[in-house]
Amino acid sequence: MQKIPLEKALSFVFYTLLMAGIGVIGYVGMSRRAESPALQAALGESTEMPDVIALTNCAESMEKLCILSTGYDAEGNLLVSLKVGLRPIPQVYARLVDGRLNIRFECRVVDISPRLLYCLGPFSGDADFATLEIYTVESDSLIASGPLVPGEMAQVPEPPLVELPPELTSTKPADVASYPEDSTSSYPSYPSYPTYP
Amino acid sequence: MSWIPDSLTVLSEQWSGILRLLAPFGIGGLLTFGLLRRLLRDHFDTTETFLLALAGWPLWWVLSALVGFFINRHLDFGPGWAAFILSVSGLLLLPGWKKMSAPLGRFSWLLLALVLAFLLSLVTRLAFLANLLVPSYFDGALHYKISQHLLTHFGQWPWDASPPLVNGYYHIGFHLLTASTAFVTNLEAAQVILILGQFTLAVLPFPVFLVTKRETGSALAAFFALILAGWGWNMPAHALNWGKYPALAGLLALQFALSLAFSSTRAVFSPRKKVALLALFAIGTAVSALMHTRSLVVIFIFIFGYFAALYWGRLPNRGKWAMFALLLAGLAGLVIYIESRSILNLVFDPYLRAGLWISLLVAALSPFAFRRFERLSLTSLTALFLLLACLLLPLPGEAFQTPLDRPFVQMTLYLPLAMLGGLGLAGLRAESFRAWQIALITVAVFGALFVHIQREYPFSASPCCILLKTDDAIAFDWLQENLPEDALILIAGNTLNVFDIENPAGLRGADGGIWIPLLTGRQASIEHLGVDFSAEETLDSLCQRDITHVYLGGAQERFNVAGLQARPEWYARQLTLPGAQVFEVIGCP
Repeated sequence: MQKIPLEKALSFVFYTLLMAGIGVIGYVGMSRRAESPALQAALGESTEMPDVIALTNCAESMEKLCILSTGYDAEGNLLVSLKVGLRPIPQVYARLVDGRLNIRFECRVVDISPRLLYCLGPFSGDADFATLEIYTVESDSLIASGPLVPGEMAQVPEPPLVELPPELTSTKPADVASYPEDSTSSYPSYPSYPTYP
Repeated sequence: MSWIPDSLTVLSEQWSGILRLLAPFGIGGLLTFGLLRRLLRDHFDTTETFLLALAGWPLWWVLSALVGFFINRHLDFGPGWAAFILSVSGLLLLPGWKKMSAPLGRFSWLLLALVLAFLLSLVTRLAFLANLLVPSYFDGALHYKISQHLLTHFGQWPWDASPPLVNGYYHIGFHLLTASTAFVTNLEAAQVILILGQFTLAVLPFPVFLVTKRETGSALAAFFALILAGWGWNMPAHALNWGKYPALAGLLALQFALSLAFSSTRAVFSPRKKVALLALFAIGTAVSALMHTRSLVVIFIFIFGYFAALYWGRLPNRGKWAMFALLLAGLAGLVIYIESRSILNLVFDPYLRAGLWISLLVAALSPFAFRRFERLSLTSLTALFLLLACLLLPLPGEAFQTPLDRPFVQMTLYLPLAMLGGLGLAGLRAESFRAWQIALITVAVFGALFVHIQREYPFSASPCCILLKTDDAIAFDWLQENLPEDALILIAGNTLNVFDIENPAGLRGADGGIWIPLLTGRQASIEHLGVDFSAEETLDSLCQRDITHVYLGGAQERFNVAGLQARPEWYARQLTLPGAQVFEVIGCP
């Protein structure tokens, strides 16, 4: 194989890479640590705002904002979770509207994943069908809108529960030794790809 | 090619984290490269040095972090010690390296091809991150917990924490690496673990290229071995679905040590170079042991296999064949026996079930490997035998432990197999066929491998082991907002079944609930997922333990909700999402 001496060029590449590496750490890392606006600038000057995003279920949506699931809490609030692809994520609120309803939902970004946010608002379940609208807090402008069927979304099929053999269904909590004595009746840890047997 | 959109999505969403982690990766790699150039430039060309540097990038970081860890016990400066010591080491190394006539060696097209192959390898690995919020499985939660602990309490052993984070712990090198890189990049520990895991996977097949190329002289066969090692079977990548990050990092470091050793076996060294080589081998071995103690067993197996092969080479022909037949029979016996054992037989899932065709391809090529490259082929075969034997050998004084556990063997078997495949292709190409026949066979072999990868290889994370999903994350946020700080939440666990002998030592987390204490600050108590919530004894026990809430995640293993729903007077539903539910225990007096 032909050898081409390129020491000088490689030295230049080496020092450039070294400087770039240190620069990346210094600039992006420290700006995030300080939570300075520099990071926002690095990520983009402004949120990409399409006209109005068509809000649908994430399973069938390619949009930058889509509905993941819905649920309820004990106080009768409807919870709508959303996946967000917008950068940076705007502060938003939601409105659930139909002919009679116009309910404001407060939204917040999920701590451990900046790609997720959820909106929570009082909803008594007196509408089978409504329109969910997402607005920016800053300018009160509509950024997404789409139909929401709260009951239907909340009933998104759960993954099948692993059915336990009868001998595993015990009533003795916290007593580990009382659980499966026959090893073959228990499920293996570290299962193979892709799912449990 | 479904991985391409996933990889691109991850690149667009996590480019900042990936770039930031590429910096310590690159600096560690460059320092290893520089050290190798200074010490062993006469024995390793630029391409080989590059391959060793890829595998040896964590060495500097782990050693710097370890030294810093001990200094920090007396002089508190935090994980910054790792960066400081690494910088000082780098400054000591750089001047001498730069004085060399060609510090970076010579460019070659093979080097360029390998750089591109590394970048491609990295891109394919990013697809795995598309659906992950945190590292998979319950091991992932443990690694996050310890890394986070070291990040905030650098200098304190995880078992000295109050309460102790671990019992029986052997991954300090990996957690020092994640803590120090999280510090210098200012990334979340979970993101560091996730991305570093993919970097490790991307690099892992490259030492196999080095050894195969060195042994056979065939770049084509070495590329075949590289592709086999990376994508031939769903191992070692599937180990990340189990959160086996330290084991993979240990596997990388041990490959650095072994590549160094194997690549040097046929060279003649001056005494000074011998010392340098031995020192580097010892450092690689020490770092791999710091990452994962079991790496030492694998290093011993390969070294033993090599010396066994040397001894075998000196036997008379009859003795040779008798020993070879004995080894093959022993291997076949082990496979048959392990196949007959429940749970233990999962070790063959990637090789005799999901990747059967590739294993058969390697088996078909193996005779050519033995014909031309008997020393390394026999080393690989002996390693296969000993890796499997380690599953069955009890450790003295241990009821459940063997030198290697089933997941570790499962994720390591690819290594001798990939080497056999590469040696086999090189052996086949060296047979006295016509040129067009050799070309045809080579294309067919590569074609079979690529078709298999295209059809079967799982680039994305397995649903088997993603414990924390989007609904869990949302439920955790809701928990933080709505549950009192002194809430004690019951979470689901299951017994740890790694062998077919059950280990009743404790429960491991079964669903996303395992992350509650780490991400919400609320306390959690683990309970077997088979518990019957409708039974009165269960309620009594929960009341005695001051359990205030019960959490059900969206993983396949979780509490059965029917018992909770059957007793609305005892358990009040607080939050319902398709993949997460929270109940409050209201039945206690």
